[in-house]
Amino acid sequence: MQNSLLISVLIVWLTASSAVLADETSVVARILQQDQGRSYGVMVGDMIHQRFVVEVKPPYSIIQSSLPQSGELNYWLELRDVAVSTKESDDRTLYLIDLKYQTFYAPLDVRTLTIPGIKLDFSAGEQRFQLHLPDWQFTMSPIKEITPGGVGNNNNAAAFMKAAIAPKTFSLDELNQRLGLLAAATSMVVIALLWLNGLLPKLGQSPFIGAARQIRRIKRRRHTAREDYLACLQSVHQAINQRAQTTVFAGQLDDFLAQFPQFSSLRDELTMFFRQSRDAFFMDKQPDPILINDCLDLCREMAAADKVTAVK
Amino acid sequence: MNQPTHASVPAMSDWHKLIQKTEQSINQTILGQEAIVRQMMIATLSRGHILLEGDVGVGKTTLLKTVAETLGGCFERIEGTIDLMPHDLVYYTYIAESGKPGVSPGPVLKHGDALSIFFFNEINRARPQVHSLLLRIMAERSVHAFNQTYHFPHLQVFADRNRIEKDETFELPAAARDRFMMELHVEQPKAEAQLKDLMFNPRFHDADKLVNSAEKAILPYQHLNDIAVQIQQQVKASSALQDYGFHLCRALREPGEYGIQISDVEVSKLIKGGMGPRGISYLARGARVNAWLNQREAIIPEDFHVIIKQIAKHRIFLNPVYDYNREQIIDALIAAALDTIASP
Repeated sequence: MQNSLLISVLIVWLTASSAVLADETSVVARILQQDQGRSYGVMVGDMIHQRFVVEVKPPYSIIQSSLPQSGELNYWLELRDVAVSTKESDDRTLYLIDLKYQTFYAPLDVRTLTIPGIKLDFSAGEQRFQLHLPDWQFTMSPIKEITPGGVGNNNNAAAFMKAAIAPKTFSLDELNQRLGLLAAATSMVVIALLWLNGLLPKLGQSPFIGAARQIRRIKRRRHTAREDYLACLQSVHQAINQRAQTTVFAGQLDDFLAQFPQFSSLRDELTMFFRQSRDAFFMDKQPDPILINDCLDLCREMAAADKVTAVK
Repeated sequence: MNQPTHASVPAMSDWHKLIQKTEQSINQTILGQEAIVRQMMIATLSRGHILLEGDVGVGKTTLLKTVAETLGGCFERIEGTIDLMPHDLVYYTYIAESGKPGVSPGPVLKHGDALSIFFFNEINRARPQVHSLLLRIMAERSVHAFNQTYHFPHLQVFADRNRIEKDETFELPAAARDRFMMELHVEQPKAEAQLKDLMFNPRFHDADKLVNSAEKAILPYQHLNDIAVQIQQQVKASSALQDYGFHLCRALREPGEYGIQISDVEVSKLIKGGMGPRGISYLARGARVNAWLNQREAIIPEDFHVIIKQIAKHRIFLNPVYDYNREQIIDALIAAALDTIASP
């Protein structure tokens, strides 16, 4: 007896649940989610975003023409944009419908307004199904008083003007500090790279110091070839040219000494240098082995006499 | 007309004395033009043609006549005029005593291969047709007439023009100017004593007498070609010097590549044409002669400096935008190239 009662209750429950399930599965389309945003405190000019997620059973699909067209719906409401995106899976299709309204209603007091619902049509061959996106009610608030406050105010447009809101300022101190640090670090890296590559101008240093350094480097070599002698002479020539900021030839020695009188005491040495250079480069004579020392001594003396010399 | 007086071949060592004597003789006749005379000697020993230009009355013609007389050999002179035609250089026609028409060789052909100096006075007054014939005479030292080719192995062309007058003149084409080894600018002497001498000394008042007073035919013209070849063979040009000469000439053609800057000039667009192979060859030849004249065995950079203006200036052609200030710009370009190109 007790068992038969239990079985009958189970049968009733199964029947009821299968009926519910049958009802669920028979719905072709339904709204899974909807979001209309805040339904109060809407003011003239505000944008109202409505989002619906609609689930549709296959093989139904939305009839595009049933979607609302953007444009003015009535004297105060405009549908600015309609966007539909689709997500398909085996057992359902999800439509994300995004509607953007803008209200131009200018209420004098708090007023309830309604955005009309939308009927969406779905089809599967000959069969059709209609889903109703519901109306939405919201309250709009005025943006100004009915009459301007204060004594002696006229009821004109200027009376309702409010002070402009001061722009919000963000402190850039931290960013400036970071930028400064970054710039300083970059400059240091660039300077270090230039220095490592020998591209940094040696400010205040006589070119003869650099020439002497080059000649010393050549002198340290165990075997000295003719090219090494020529390189020594060339270093001195380059230093003289650099100092004069023009090319100085033997015939222009007097001009050079007139321009840089600090070297006048070295006239004989310079004359000798130009003669040695001429013999080596143009007369193809074998340079004297003492030439390297002569060039080095000349560079040292020129650097010592050079007025711009900062480092000896 | 002068006839060759030197039959024997002077030794190489004697040539220095002969050149020195020639220069002295010319400098005693023409005052204050020592540098120009030296340039003319260099051109002569390089077997190059010379174009003289300058103001009116500075003695261009007298100088050329004197140099021509001093060098020796047969000398011919023709005046550039607007109606001068090429055949006037080659032949002239006349009515002979017999009453029949006669044709005789003109100034170019008259002396055959003994012609050593052809002096073209006021060359820019002659028409381009005459310039064209002159091109061949200068480049090939030959001309074709009377069904045969005449050769002038010892010929050197001297020409002059003045830059003051522009009416009824014809600018020498670039090709003709390029055939002149040097274009020398003659200015009046600057020294007060020399100017006073030219002003008051009657010796300088009669140009013809003055030219006749100069010693004639000092140089054996028929051996000039040989000595020129010997100089080119004997005087060395080291590799460092060759590098310098190459870069110097290149800087005049492509100044932008060498970072040369001239105020108010866009250097990359400045040059339209520059020192070509003939020009750079003349520069090297002239440098060798200058080294030899200074009794050196090899060329040094300063040998280029002595002649670079005279050889390069008339060979550089500028973009027409800069032609209005041609003289100053080219002077600045050459000076900048000399200051920029280092040697060694």
